Amino acid sequence: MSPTEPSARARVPPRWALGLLLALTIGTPFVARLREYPVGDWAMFSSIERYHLDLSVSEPTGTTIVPVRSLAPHLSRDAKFVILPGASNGFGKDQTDLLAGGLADIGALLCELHPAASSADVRLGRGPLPRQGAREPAERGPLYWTEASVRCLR
Amino acid sequence: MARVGRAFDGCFDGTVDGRVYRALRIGFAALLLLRSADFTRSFWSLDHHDWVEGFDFSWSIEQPPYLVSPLIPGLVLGARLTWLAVRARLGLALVLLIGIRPRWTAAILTVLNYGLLFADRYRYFHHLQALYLCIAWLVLVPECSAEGGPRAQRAAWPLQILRSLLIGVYWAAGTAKWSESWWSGDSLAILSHLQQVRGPVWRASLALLGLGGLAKCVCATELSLPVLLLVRATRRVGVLCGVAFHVLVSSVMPVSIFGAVMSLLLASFWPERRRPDCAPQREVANPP
Repeated sequence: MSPTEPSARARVPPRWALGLLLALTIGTPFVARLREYPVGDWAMFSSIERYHLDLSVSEPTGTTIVPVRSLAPHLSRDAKFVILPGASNGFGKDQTDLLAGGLADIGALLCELHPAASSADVRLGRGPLPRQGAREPAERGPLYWTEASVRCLR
Repeated sequence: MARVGRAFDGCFDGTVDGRVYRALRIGFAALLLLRSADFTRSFWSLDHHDWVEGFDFSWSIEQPPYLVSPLIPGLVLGARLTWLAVRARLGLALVLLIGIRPRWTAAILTVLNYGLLFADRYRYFHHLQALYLCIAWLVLVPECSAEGGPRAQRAAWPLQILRSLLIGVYWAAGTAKWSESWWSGDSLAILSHLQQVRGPVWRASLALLGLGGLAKCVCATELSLPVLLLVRATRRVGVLCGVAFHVLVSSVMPVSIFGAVMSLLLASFWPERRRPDCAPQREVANPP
Protein backbone atom coordinates (compact mmCIF):
# COMPACT_ATOMS: atom_id res chain seq x y z
CA MET A 1 0.00 0.00 0.00
CA SER A 2 1.39 3.39 -0.91
CA PRO A 3 1.90 5.97 1.85
CA THR A 4 -0.85 8.18 0.46
CA GLU A 5 -3.48 5.46 0.39
CA PRO A 6 -4.89 5.70 3.93
CA SER A 7 -5.65 9.38 3.53
CA ALA A 8 -7.23 8.70 0.15
CA ARG A 9 -9.46 6.04 1.70
CA ALA A 10 -10.44 8.34 4.52
CA ARG A 11 -11.84 10.83 2.04
CA VAL A 12 -14.50 8.47 0.62
CA PRO A 13 -17.88 10.18 1.13
CA PRO A 14 -20.64 8.54 3.16
CA ARG A 15 -22.80 5.88 1.54
CA TRP A 16 -25.81 8.15 1.16
CA ALA A 17 -23.78 10.67 -0.82
CA LEU A 18 -22.34 8.01 -3.10
CA GLY A 19 -25.79 6.48 -3.52
CA LEU A 20 -27.18 9.86 -4.50
CA LEU A 21 -24.43 10.35 -7.08
CA LEU A 22 -25.08 6.87 -8.49
CA ALA A 23 -28.80 7.57 -8.68
CA LEU A 24 -28.07 10.81 -10.53
CA THR A 25 -25.78 9.18 -13.08
CA ILE A 26 -27.79 6.02 -13.71
CA GLY A 27 -31.36 6.88 -12.71
CA THR A 28 -31.77 10.39 -14.10
CA PRO A 29 -32.03 9.35 -17.77
CA PHE A 30 -34.92 7.02 -17.01
CA VAL A 31 -36.73 9.67 -14.96
CA ALA A 32 -36.21 12.14 -17.81
CA ARG A 33 -37.65 9.64 -20.28
CA LEU A 34 -40.69 8.97 -18.12
CA ARG A 35 -41.35 12.71 -17.99
CA GLU A 36 -40.71 13.11 -21.73
CA TYR A 37 -38.02 15.63 -20.85
CA PRO A 38 -35.19 15.43 -23.37
CA VAL A 39 -32.43 16.83 -21.14
CA GLY A 40 -30.19 13.92 -20.22
CA ASP A 41 -32.51 11.16 -21.43
CA TRP A 42 -29.80 9.94 -23.84
CA ALA A 43 -32.45 8.63 -26.24
CA MET A 44 -30.10 9.34 -29.18
CA PHE A 45 -32.25 9.24 -32.32
CA SER A 46 -34.22 6.23 -31.07
CA SER A 47 -37.46 7.72 -32.29
CA ILE A 48 -38.04 10.57 -34.68
CA GLU A 49 -41.21 12.59 -34.94
CA ARG A 50 -42.38 15.26 -37.31
CA TYR A 51 -43.87 18.47 -36.07
CA HIS A 52 -45.76 21.45 -37.37
CA LEU A 53 -46.37 24.81 -35.77
CA ASP A 54 -49.39 27.09 -36.26
CA LEU A 55 -49.40 30.63 -34.87
CA SER A 56 -52.24 33.10 -34.65
CA VAL A 57 -53.25 36.22 -32.73
CA SER A 58 -56.70 37.56 -31.86
CA GLU A 59 -56.93 41.21 -32.81
CA PRO A 60 -59.89 43.62 -32.83
CA THR A 61 -60.26 42.96 -36.56
CA GLY A 62 -60.38 39.21 -36.03
CA THR A 63 -57.98 36.29 -35.89
CA THR A 64 -54.76 36.77 -37.82
CA ILE A 65 -52.54 33.88 -38.88
CA VAL A 66 -48.89 34.66 -38.16
CA PRO A 67 -46.30 33.06 -40.46
CA VAL A 68 -43.77 31.10 -38.40
CA ARG A 69 -40.93 32.52 -40.49
CA SER A 70 -41.84 36.05 -39.45
CA LEU A 71 -40.41 35.24 -36.01
CA ALA A 72 -36.92 34.71 -37.45
CA PRO A 73 -35.37 38.11 -36.57
CA HIS A 74 -36.47 37.66 -32.96
CA LEU A 75 -35.04 34.18 -32.44
CA SER A 76 -31.63 33.00 -31.38
CA ARG A 77 -29.54 30.91 -33.73
CA ASP A 78 -30.55 27.71 -31.91
CA ALA A 79 -34.24 28.64 -31.67
CA LYS A 80 -34.28 29.20 -35.44
CA PHE A 81 -33.02 25.65 -36.00
CA VAL A 82 -35.98 24.22 -34.09
CA ILE A 83 -38.84 26.68 -34.56
CA LEU A 84 -38.55 27.70 -38.22
CA PRO A 85 -38.76 24.15 -39.66
CA GLY A 86 -42.13 23.94 -37.88
CA ALA A 87 -43.53 26.22 -40.60
CA SER A 88 -43.69 23.17 -42.84
CA ASN A 89 -42.43 19.97 -41.26
CA GLY A 90 -39.71 19.73 -38.66
CA PHE A 91 -38.18 16.44 -37.64
CA GLY A 92 -36.76 15.19 -34.36
CA LYS A 93 -37.96 13.95 -31.00
CA ASP A 94 -35.84 16.11 -28.72
CA GLN A 95 -36.67 19.19 -30.76
CA THR A 96 -40.38 18.47 -30.49
CA ASP A 97 -40.18 17.93 -26.75
CA LEU A 98 -38.23 21.17 -26.30
CA LEU A 99 -40.71 23.05 -28.44
CA ALA A 100 -43.68 21.58 -26.59
CA GLY A 101 -42.33 22.95 -23.32
CA GLY A 102 -41.92 26.46 -24.71
CA LEU A 103 -45.21 27.17 -26.51
CA ALA A 104 -46.28 29.79 -23.97
CA ASP A 105 -42.99 31.63 -24.46
CA ILE A 106 -43.65 31.82 -28.19
CA GLY A 107 -47.13 33.11 -27.37
CA ALA A 108 -45.61 35.85 -25.20
CA LEU A 109 -43.36 36.87 -28.09
CA LEU A 110 -46.38 37.02 -30.42
CA CYS A 111 -48.08 39.36 -27.96
CA GLU A 112 -45.08 41.66 -28.01
CA LEU A 113 -44.93 41.64 -31.79
CA HIS A 114 -48.64 42.36 -32.12
CA PRO A 115 -49.48 45.09 -29.61
CA ALA A 116 -53.12 45.21 -30.67
CA ALA A 117 -53.66 41.51 -29.98
CA SER A 118 -55.72 40.41 -27.00
CA SER A 119 -54.40 36.85 -27.10
CA ALA A 120 -51.97 34.64 -28.97
CA ASP A 121 -52.45 30.99 -29.86
CA VAL A 122 -49.62 28.57 -30.50
CA ARG A 123 -50.48 25.09 -31.77
CA LEU A 124 -47.95 22.31 -32.04
CA GLY A 125 -48.82 19.24 -34.07
CA ARG A 126 -46.61 16.21 -33.64
CA GLY A 127 -46.81 12.72 -34.98
CA PRO A 128 -44.88 9.63 -35.90
CA LEU A 129 -43.04 9.32 -39.15
CA PRO A 130 -44.18 6.74 -41.69
CA ARG A 131 -42.74 3.31 -42.05
CA GLN A 132 -40.09 2.38 -44.57
CA GLY A 133 -41.11 2.65 -48.18
CA ALA A 134 -43.36 5.68 -47.82
CA ARG A 135 -42.58 8.13 -50.59
CA GLU A 136 -43.61 11.34 -48.89
CA PRO A 137 -42.62 11.04 -45.22
CA ALA A 138 -43.76 14.53 -44.43
CA GLU A 139 -47.32 13.95 -45.54
CA ARG A 140 -48.20 10.68 -43.87
CA GLY A 141 -49.55 9.92 -40.44
CA PRO A 142 -51.81 11.91 -38.12
CA LEU A 143 -50.63 14.81 -36.01
CA TYR A 144 -51.58 15.21 -32.37
CA TRP A 145 -52.04 18.80 -31.31
CA THR A 146 -50.99 20.69 -28.21
CA GLU A 147 -52.13 24.27 -27.81
CA ALA A 148 -51.03 27.18 -25.66
CA SER A 149 -53.20 30.26 -25.48
CA VAL A 150 -51.58 33.35 -23.98
CA ARG A 151 -53.56 36.39 -22.89
CA CYS A 152 -51.72 39.52 -23.93
CA LEU A 153 -51.25 42.20 -21.31
CA ARG A 154 -51.72 45.71 -22.55
CA MET B 1 -27.55 -6.04 4.99
CA ALA B 2 -24.00 -5.67 6.21
CA ARG B 3 -22.78 -7.68 3.21
CA VAL B 4 -24.66 -5.39 0.85
CA GLY B 5 -23.09 -2.42 2.59
CA ARG B 6 -19.62 -3.93 2.27
CA ALA B 7 -20.20 -4.74 -1.40
CA PHE B 8 -21.35 -1.16 -1.95
CA ASP B 9 -18.25 0.15 -0.19
CA GLY B 10 -16.16 -2.19 -2.31
CA CYS B 11 -17.40 -0.41 -5.40
CA PHE B 12 -15.82 2.81 -4.26
CA ASP B 13 -12.80 2.02 -2.14
CA GLY B 14 -9.21 1.81 -3.30
CA THR B 15 -7.01 4.21 -5.16
CA VAL B 16 -5.85 4.93 -8.69
CA ASP B 17 -2.80 6.51 -10.22
CA GLY B 18 -3.26 10.27 -9.93
CA ARG B 19 -2.24 10.76 -13.56
CA VAL B 20 -5.60 9.29 -14.59
CA TYR B 21 -7.39 12.32 -13.21
CA ARG B 22 -4.93 14.71 -14.78
CA ALA B 23 -5.36 13.08 -18.20
CA LEU B 24 -9.15 13.21 -17.95
CA ARG B 25 -9.08 16.86 -16.86
CA ILE B 26 -6.86 17.80 -19.79
CA GLY B 27 -9.06 15.83 -22.20
CA PHE B 28 -12.35 17.34 -21.03
CA ALA B 29 -10.91 20.85 -20.87
CA ALA B 30 -9.48 20.52 -24.38
CA LEU B 31 -12.85 19.39 -25.72
CA LEU B 32 -14.60 22.29 -24.00
CA LEU B 33 -12.06 24.68 -25.44
CA LEU B 34 -12.55 23.30 -28.95
CA ARG B 35 -16.35 23.16 -28.74
CA SER B 36 -16.85 26.61 -27.20
CA ALA B 37 -15.60 28.53 -30.21
CA ASP B 38 -14.48 28.15 -33.82
CA PHE B 39 -10.87 29.28 -33.55
CA THR B 40 -9.58 26.13 -35.26
CA ARG B 41 -11.70 26.80 -38.34
CA SER B 42 -8.80 27.88 -40.54
CA PHE B 43 -6.72 24.77 -39.95
CA TRP B 44 -9.02 22.11 -38.47
CA SER B 45 -12.63 21.87 -39.53
CA LEU B 46 -15.01 20.45 -36.93
CA ASP B 47 -18.71 19.57 -37.13
CA HIS B 48 -19.83 22.48 -34.97
CA HIS B 49 -18.22 25.01 -37.30
CA ASP B 50 -21.26 24.49 -39.52
CA TRP B 51 -23.40 26.38 -37.03
CA VAL B 52 -21.03 28.15 -34.64
CA GLU B 53 -19.35 31.39 -35.62
CA GLY B 54 -17.09 32.96 -33.04
CA PHE B 55 -18.11 31.95 -29.53
CA ASP B 56 -20.80 29.30 -29.19
CA PHE B 57 -24.02 30.68 -27.65
CA SER B 58 -23.06 34.23 -28.56
CA TRP B 59 -25.95 36.65 -28.69
CA SER B 60 -27.47 36.06 -32.11
CA ILE B 61 -30.86 37.76 -32.09
CA GLU B 62 -31.20 40.36 -34.81
CA GLN B 63 -33.85 42.65 -33.35
CA PRO B 64 -36.04 43.11 -30.28
CA PRO B 65 -38.33 41.89 -28.92
CA TYR B 66 -36.62 38.56 -28.56
CA LEU B 67 -37.89 35.12 -27.60
CA VAL B 68 -37.20 34.33 -23.94
CA SER B 69 -37.55 30.59 -23.41
CA PRO B 70 -35.25 29.26 -20.73
CA LEU B 71 -35.22 25.66 -19.55
CA ILE B 72 -35.05 26.94 -15.99
CA PRO B 73 -37.85 29.44 -15.36
CA GLY B 74 -36.51 32.90 -14.71
CA LEU B 75 -33.02 32.22 -16.06
CA VAL B 76 -32.68 35.12 -18.45
CA LEU B 77 -29.29 36.23 -19.73
CA GLY B 78 -29.35 39.43 -21.72
CA ALA B 79 -26.89 40.39 -24.43
CA ARG B 80 -24.25 41.76 -22.04
CA LEU B 81 -24.23 38.83 -19.64
CA THR B 82 -24.10 36.42 -22.58
CA TRP B 83 -21.17 38.36 -24.09
CA LEU B 84 -19.32 38.11 -20.78
CA ALA B 85 -20.22 34.47 -20.08
CA VAL B 86 -19.07 33.05 -23.43
CA ARG B 87 -15.70 34.77 -23.09
CA ALA B 88 -15.26 33.80 -19.46
CA ARG B 89 -16.07 30.19 -20.38
CA LEU B 90 -13.33 30.07 -22.99
CA GLY B 91 -10.79 31.65 -20.64
CA LEU B 92 -11.68 29.30 -17.81
CA ALA B 93 -11.49 26.28 -20.14
CA LEU B 94 -7.90 27.30 -20.81
CA VAL B 95 -7.26 27.71 -17.08
CA LEU B 96 -8.71 24.23 -16.51
CA LEU B 97 -6.55 22.80 -19.25
CA ILE B 98 -3.44 24.24 -17.59
CA GLY B 99 -4.63 22.96 -14.24
CA ILE B 100 -4.83 26.05 -12.07
CA ARG B 101 -7.19 25.39 -9.13
CA PRO B 102 -9.02 22.76 -11.21
CA ARG B 103 -11.87 22.08 -8.79
CA TRP B 104 -12.81 25.74 -8.43
CA THR B 105 -12.39 26.33 -12.14
CA ALA B 106 -14.55 23.33 -12.94
CA ALA B 107 -17.21 24.57 -10.50
CA ILE B 108 -17.37 28.02 -12.09
CA LEU B 109 -17.36 26.47 -15.56
CA THR B 110 -20.26 24.23 -14.59
CA VAL B 111 -22.29 27.26 -13.56
CA LEU B 112 -21.39 29.06 -16.78
CA ASN B 113 -21.98 26.05 -19.02
CA TYR B 114 -25.39 25.27 -17.60
CA GLY B 115 -26.30 28.94 -17.26
CA LEU B 116 -25.72 29.42 -20.98
CA LEU B 117 -27.29 26.09 -21.96
CA PHE B 118 -30.46 26.49 -19.92
CA ALA B 119 -30.98 30.17 -20.72
CA ASP B 120 -32.31 29.07 -24.11
CA ARG B 121 -34.14 25.73 -24.30
CA TYR B 122 -33.22 25.33 -27.96
CA ARG B 123 -29.50 25.09 -27.21
CA TYR B 124 -29.74 21.60 -25.80
CA PHE B 125 -27.66 18.83 -27.39
CA HIS B 126 -26.77 15.47 -25.87
CA HIS B 127 -23.08 15.91 -26.67
CA LEU B 128 -23.01 19.18 -24.73
CA GLN B 129 -24.81 17.62 -21.80
CA ALA B 130 -22.25 14.78 -21.76
CA LEU B 131 -19.33 17.21 -21.84
CA TYR B 132 -20.81 19.54 -19.22
CA LEU B 133 -21.45 16.62 -16.87
CA CYS B 134 -17.81 15.59 -17.25
CA ILE B 135 -16.68 19.12 -16.42
CA ALA B 136 -19.00 19.10 -13.40
CA TRP B 137 -17.52 15.76 -12.35
CA LEU B 138 -14.07 17.38 -12.09
CA VAL B 139 -15.38 19.20 -9.01
CA LEU B 140 -15.36 15.83 -7.22
CA VAL B 141 -11.77 14.98 -8.12
CA PRO B 142 -9.36 15.41 -5.21
CA GLU B 143 -6.46 17.71 -5.95
CA CYS B 144 -3.05 16.07 -5.76
CA SER B 145 -1.11 16.63 -2.58
CA ALA B 146 2.12 18.59 -2.68
CA GLU B 147 4.21 15.73 -1.31
CA GLY B 148 2.76 13.03 -3.55
CA GLY B 149 2.84 14.83 -6.88
CA PRO B 150 0.64 13.89 -9.82
CA ARG B 151 1.79 10.24 -9.78
CA ALA B 152 0.58 9.66 -6.21
CA GLN B 153 -2.32 7.31 -5.63
CA ARG B 154 -5.60 9.13 -5.24
CA ALA B 155 -9.04 8.05 -4.09
CA ALA B 156 -10.78 5.96 -6.75
CA TRP B 157 -14.38 6.83 -5.89
CA PRO B 158 -14.63 9.85 -8.24
CA LEU B 159 -13.45 7.64 -11.08
CA GLN B 160 -16.14 5.11 -10.20
CA ILE B 161 -18.77 7.85 -10.36
CA LEU B 162 -17.53 8.86 -13.81
CA ARG B 163 -17.67 5.25 -14.92
CA SER B 164 -21.24 4.95 -13.67
CA LEU B 165 -22.14 7.98 -15.79
CA LEU B 166 -21.01 6.13 -18.89
CA ILE B 167 -22.89 2.99 -17.88
CA GLY B 168 -26.01 5.12 -17.41
CA VAL B 169 -25.63 6.68 -20.86
CA TYR B 170 -25.33 3.29 -22.58
CA TRP B 171 -28.19 1.72 -20.68
CA ALA B 172 -30.43 4.67 -21.36
CA ALA B 173 -29.50 4.84 -25.04
CA GLY B 174 -29.85 1.07 -25.50
CA THR B 175 -33.18 0.72 -23.73
CA ALA B 176 -34.58 3.75 -25.60
CA LYS B 177 -33.98 1.79 -28.80
CA TRP B 178 -35.95 -1.18 -27.49
CA SER B 179 -38.90 -0.27 -29.68
CA GLU B 180 -40.59 -1.49 -32.83
CA SER B 181 -39.74 1.66 -34.77
CA TRP B 182 -36.02 1.23 -34.07
CA TRP B 183 -35.77 -2.55 -34.42
CA SER B 184 -37.60 -2.55 -37.76
CA GLY B 185 -35.06 -0.08 -39.12
CA ASP B 186 -37.72 2.61 -39.67
CA SER B 187 -35.88 5.19 -37.55
CA LEU B 188 -32.64 4.59 -39.43
CA ALA B 189 -34.53 4.84 -42.73
CA ILE B 190 -35.83 8.24 -41.67
CA LEU B 191 -32.37 9.35 -40.58
CA SER B 192 -31.05 8.25 -43.95
CA HIS B 193 -33.88 10.06 -45.73
CA LEU B 194 -33.01 13.24 -43.79
CA GLN B 195 -29.32 12.80 -44.69
CA GLN B 196 -28.44 12.49 -41.01
CA VAL B 197 -26.58 9.26 -41.76
CA ARG B 198 -24.49 9.17 -44.88
CA GLY B 199 -21.13 8.45 -46.40
CA PRO B 200 -19.19 5.41 -47.60
CA VAL B 201 -19.12 3.67 -44.21
CA TRP B 202 -22.90 4.00 -43.95
CA ARG B 203 -23.44 2.63 -47.44
CA ALA B 204 -21.09 -0.28 -46.82
CA SER B 205 -22.75 -1.11 -43.50
CA LEU B 206 -26.17 -0.89 -45.08
CA ALA B 207 -25.16 -3.26 -47.89
CA LEU B 208 -23.76 -5.70 -45.34
CA LEU B 209 -26.50 -5.74 -42.71
CA GLY B 210 -29.54 -3.93 -44.04
CA LEU B 211 -31.52 -1.36 -42.05
CA GLY B 212 -33.01 -3.83 -39.58
CA GLY B 213 -29.70 -5.58 -38.99
CA LEU B 214 -27.86 -2.32 -38.44
CA ALA B 215 -30.50 -1.10 -36.01
CA LYS B 216 -30.29 -4.32 -34.01
CA CYS B 217 -26.49 -4.15 -34.00
CA VAL B 218 -26.50 -0.60 -32.61
CA CYS B 219 -29.00 -1.50 -29.90
CA ALA B 220 -27.13 -4.69 -28.99
CA THR B 221 -23.83 -2.81 -28.83
CA GLU B 222 -25.21 -0.13 -26.53
CA LEU B 223 -26.73 -2.73 -24.23
CA SER B 224 -23.73 -5.05 -24.16
CA LEU B 225 -21.00 -2.44 -23.68
CA PRO B 226 -21.96 -1.84 -20.03
CA VAL B 227 -21.72 -5.59 -19.38
CA LEU B 228 -18.28 -5.79 -20.97
CA LEU B 229 -17.16 -2.77 -18.96
CA LEU B 230 -18.57 -4.01 -15.66
CA VAL B 231 -16.85 -7.40 -15.80
CA ARG B 232 -13.21 -6.99 -14.94
CA ALA B 233 -12.04 -9.73 -17.31
CA THR B 234 -13.63 -8.07 -20.37
CA ARG B 235 -13.23 -4.44 -19.33
CA ARG B 236 -10.43 -3.50 -21.70
CA VAL B 237 -12.09 -5.36 -24.58
CA GLY B 238 -15.15 -3.26 -23.81
CA VAL B 239 -13.10 -0.08 -23.95
CA LEU B 240 -11.71 -0.99 -27.38
CA CYS B 241 -15.12 -2.09 -28.71
CA GLY B 242 -16.69 1.13 -27.39
CA VAL B 243 -14.09 3.36 -29.02
CA ALA B 244 -14.49 1.48 -32.32
CA PHE B 245 -18.28 1.90 -32.05
CA HIS B 246 -17.98 5.66 -31.59
CA VAL B 247 -15.48 5.98 -34.43
CA LEU B 248 -18.01 4.24 -36.70
CA VAL B 249 -20.92 6.36 -35.48
CA SER B 250 -18.90 9.57 -35.92
CA SER B 251 -18.00 8.55 -39.46
CA VAL B 252 -21.63 8.18 -40.55
CA MET B 253 -23.42 11.00 -38.75
CA PRO B 254 -22.59 14.52 -37.55
CA VAL B 255 -22.47 14.03 -33.77
CA SER B 256 -19.90 16.76 -33.12
CA ILE B 257 -17.69 15.95 -30.13
CA PHE B 258 -19.92 13.19 -28.78
CA GLY B 259 -17.60 10.41 -29.93
CA ALA B 260 -14.61 12.12 -28.35
CA VAL B 261 -16.37 12.65 -25.02
CA MET B 262 -17.54 9.04 -24.96
CA SER B 263 -14.07 7.78 -25.86
CA LEU B 264 -12.61 9.71 -22.94
CA LEU B 265 -15.26 8.24 -20.68
CA LEU B 266 -14.42 4.79 -22.01
CA ALA B 267 -10.73 5.44 -21.35
CA SER B 268 -11.61 5.97 -17.69
CA PHE B 269 -12.21 2.20 -17.52
CA TRP B 270 -8.69 1.36 -18.64
CA PRO B 271 -6.68 1.93 -15.44
CA GLU B 272 -6.82 -0.69 -12.73
CA ARG B 273 -7.97 0.26 -9.29
CA ARG B 274 -5.58 -0.56 -6.47
CA ARG B 275 -7.78 -2.17 -3.87
CA PRO B 276 -7.08 -1.82 -0.16
CA ASP B 277 -5.88 -4.86 1.77
CA CYS B 278 -9.05 -6.74 2.56
CA ALA B 279 -10.65 -10.14 2.45
CA PRO B 280 -10.55 -11.58 -1.07
CA GLN B 281 -14.30 -12.26 -1.17
CA ARG B 282 -14.87 -8.53 -1.61
CA GLU B 283 -13.43 -8.94 -5.06
CA VAL B 284 -16.64 -10.64 -6.17
CA ALA B 285 -18.19 -7.27 -6.72
CA ASN B 286 -17.52 -6.08 -10.23
CA PRO B 287 -18.30 -2.41 -9.97
CA PRO B 288 -18.42 -0.04 -12.87
